[in-house]
Amino acid sequence: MTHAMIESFSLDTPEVVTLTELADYCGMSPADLDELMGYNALQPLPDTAPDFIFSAHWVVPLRAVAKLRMDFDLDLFTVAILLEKLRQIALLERQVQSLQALVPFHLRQT
Amino acid sequence: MKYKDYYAILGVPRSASLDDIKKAYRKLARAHHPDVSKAPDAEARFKEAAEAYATLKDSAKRAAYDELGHPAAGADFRPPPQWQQDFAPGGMAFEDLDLADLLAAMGRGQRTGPQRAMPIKGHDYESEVTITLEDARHGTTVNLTLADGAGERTLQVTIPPGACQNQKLRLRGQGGKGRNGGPDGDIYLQIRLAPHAVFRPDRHDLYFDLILSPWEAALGAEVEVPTLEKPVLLTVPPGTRAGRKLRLRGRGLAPEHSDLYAIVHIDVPATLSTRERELFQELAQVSSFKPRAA
Repeated sequence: MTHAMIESFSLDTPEVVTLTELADYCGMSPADLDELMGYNALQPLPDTAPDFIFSAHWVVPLRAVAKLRMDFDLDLFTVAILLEKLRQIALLERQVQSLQALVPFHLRQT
Repeated sequence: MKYKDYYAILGVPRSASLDDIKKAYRKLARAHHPDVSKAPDAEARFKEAAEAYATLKDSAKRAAYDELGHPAAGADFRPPPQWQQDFAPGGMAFEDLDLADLLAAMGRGQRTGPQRAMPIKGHDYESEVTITLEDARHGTTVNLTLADGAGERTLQVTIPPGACQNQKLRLRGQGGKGRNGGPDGDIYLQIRLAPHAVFRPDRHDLYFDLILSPWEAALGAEVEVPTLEKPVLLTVPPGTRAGRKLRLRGRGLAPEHSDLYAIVHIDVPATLSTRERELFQELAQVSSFKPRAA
């Protein structure tokens, strides 16, 4: 067993990553990310050009679309659309979770 | 080395165009992708198709593959001797490789020999861990067991206080070993919260049901309520209506910036004593409260 303290980095919104780090985390090239920004599917934090900085919340959906891109040999334009849809799904899941928290136990189906 | 018939795996003739190969792959990927298919062999069939496609979509790799001729699938074969010098990573023997490794090395531009092999980052792993709400608030240490090429290993990972549902942590350099000087991969750890008998999480906030009697709701009361630590006294203001959320500041999952909410429900006795009935009847006569008034 490895007993050393394992450094962890939260991928929550308050954390930030550089363009190079984001590309490294999700297995895409900086040029790919640049193209996704061109499609307005990926947005850097305001006023960070030309050394773009991103909220770390992009890491999870970008890793998901990078995997789908590889698995299904998708082009970047399709990836851009998928990224937006995945973010919408994540937002809806968040809203469902918020609503479920308000539903009393005796009224919950599952 | 065992021969794999990539054309047969994709179900296309050896003369197939790139378009036909792509269509055939996408059809198989759609059918066998582990996110889509629940068949026990789905992942293996998906990987097999992906391996075939990775070679046949690349004209250089496809030409090299076609050089091998057409042995029967699964038959032992020996690649051309020049491939040993050109592609075998780190001068490895062919016997230590399979066809996919060899063709992948070709894709990384290793034709000039192993001394110029490109650095390759280690494999990233995705994992998840379920913790209690109490551990999420206070932080905890979990043991994470991973099985990879190096065998099984267990890591002790510290989850910082204030974790929430579906939060992801990146454990840098704890994934697969990098090759040719490449960095080690990472582990992406997703946190799940175990269902709790009382509390329901919403991000870092927590909710629970507070059942009040009609007179507690109307007159106000001090009631003892649970928290993730010890119970506390909550002041219910007079005239509290059903559905109202009463906040206990700083009692959520992240002590600094999350709250615990009591959602008010009002219940009535299922049966009434004679005296209770009299009192309710008297209240009904004297009260001007009209709950269904516009």
